[in-house]
Amino acid sequence: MSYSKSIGSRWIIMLGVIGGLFISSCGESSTDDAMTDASAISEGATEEQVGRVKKIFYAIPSPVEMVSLIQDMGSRYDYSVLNKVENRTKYNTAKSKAVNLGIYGADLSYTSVFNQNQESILYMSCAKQLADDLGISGAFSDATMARVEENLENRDSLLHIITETYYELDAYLKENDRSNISAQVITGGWLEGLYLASKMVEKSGKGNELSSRLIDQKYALKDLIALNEANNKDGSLDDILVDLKALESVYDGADSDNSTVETSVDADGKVTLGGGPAATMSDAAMDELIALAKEIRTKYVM
Amino acid sequence: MTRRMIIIMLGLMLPILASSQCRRFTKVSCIPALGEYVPNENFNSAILIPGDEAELMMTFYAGQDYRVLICTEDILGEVGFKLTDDGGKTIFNSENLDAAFMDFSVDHTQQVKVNLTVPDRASPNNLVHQGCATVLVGYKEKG
Repeated sequence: MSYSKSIGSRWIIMLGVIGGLFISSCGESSTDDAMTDASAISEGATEEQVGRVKKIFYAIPSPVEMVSLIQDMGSRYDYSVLNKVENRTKYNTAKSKAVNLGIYGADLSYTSVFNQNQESILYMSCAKQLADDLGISGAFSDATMARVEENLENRDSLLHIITETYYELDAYLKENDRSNISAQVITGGWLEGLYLASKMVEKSGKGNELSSRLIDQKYALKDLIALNEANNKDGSLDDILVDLKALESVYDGADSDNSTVETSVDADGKVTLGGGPAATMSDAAMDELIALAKEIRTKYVM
Repeated sequence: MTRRMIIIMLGLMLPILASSQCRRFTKVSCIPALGEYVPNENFNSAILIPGDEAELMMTFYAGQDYRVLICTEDILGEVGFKLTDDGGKTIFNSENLDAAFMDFSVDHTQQVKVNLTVPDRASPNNLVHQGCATVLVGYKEKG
């Protein structure tokens, strides 16, 4: 073998090893195998090669938190408010698939929180099919689906599996430079949580904890808009931003004081964040919010 | 020519590899530390280097119990972190904590910022050590 051929073979082997690492990172089984050591990948960079940009994350509260409150408030399970499973076949664009992947995720959280096992399987399947269509099926692996079926009777375990699945999905999208899709999924989940809560407020009336939580969404909305703006380099999130800013304009009517956060520690060492801004909203503004949440959500699920 | 192309390909793949390793690090080393807290569904993880800063914006709901967990690879050293409210007032500072997480309950819905600072340090060979840093937020299901 000539020297040049030998060198060429080494490069091919090296590429194969790195390619193997890359492929295994997309699979489910390899992720549990062992601790990783990022230092192994760090030695090649010099200070001149590395730019310094402050990394900013926008974390949006999970829809599970919202639907858990809906249940805590004594609301009754209502299958009719969820996005219909048969709508899944209507979603033909990447954006409609991504947004509805988020919407079905929130619906899945809702069915799971209320221990509706058959519906949970249906919504998990819907989410999996949309994820498959988007080429991000890794999070909804056969192993994950099997875990869901095994834990249908265990609400807490099921919620953990659902949130971990969506976490994996989000991680996969972000690491593969598809943060705009991630933003669409997160936005869909948030919009559905807002819609479900607004439907329950319609039934239960205003002035309760659930309507307060609906008003509190003004803070999460601020982060959600920032998240979409940060990932809108190609303009693919323009439409979503228009809808979110329409909601923001309604929330601008909510009054908010400017008190600062105070921490307190009780005798058991438990820390509580008190104080902070308290938002309030007129009944008319609340009605406007509920109507707009419905209008925007309907546009995305149809 | 071929060799140059291979080097370019490797250069393009390395950031993806780094990011994949960050995901595995988070899943294996960080999420279990949330314990009974249900993780938020957003992946907030990045490869950082000495001197880097990162921040996370998050809304915490009234009536909920939370754990905010900062999880970093050892190579980054003692990563400092603090929580500040919307007006910039410091709520928690890692200098006053024994652990890399904070547990708290919330009386009123708050928008809180989590700031991370990777200590700067000189490298004798001018190479930069980079590592994964993750911010995890979990809430506790009411029993």
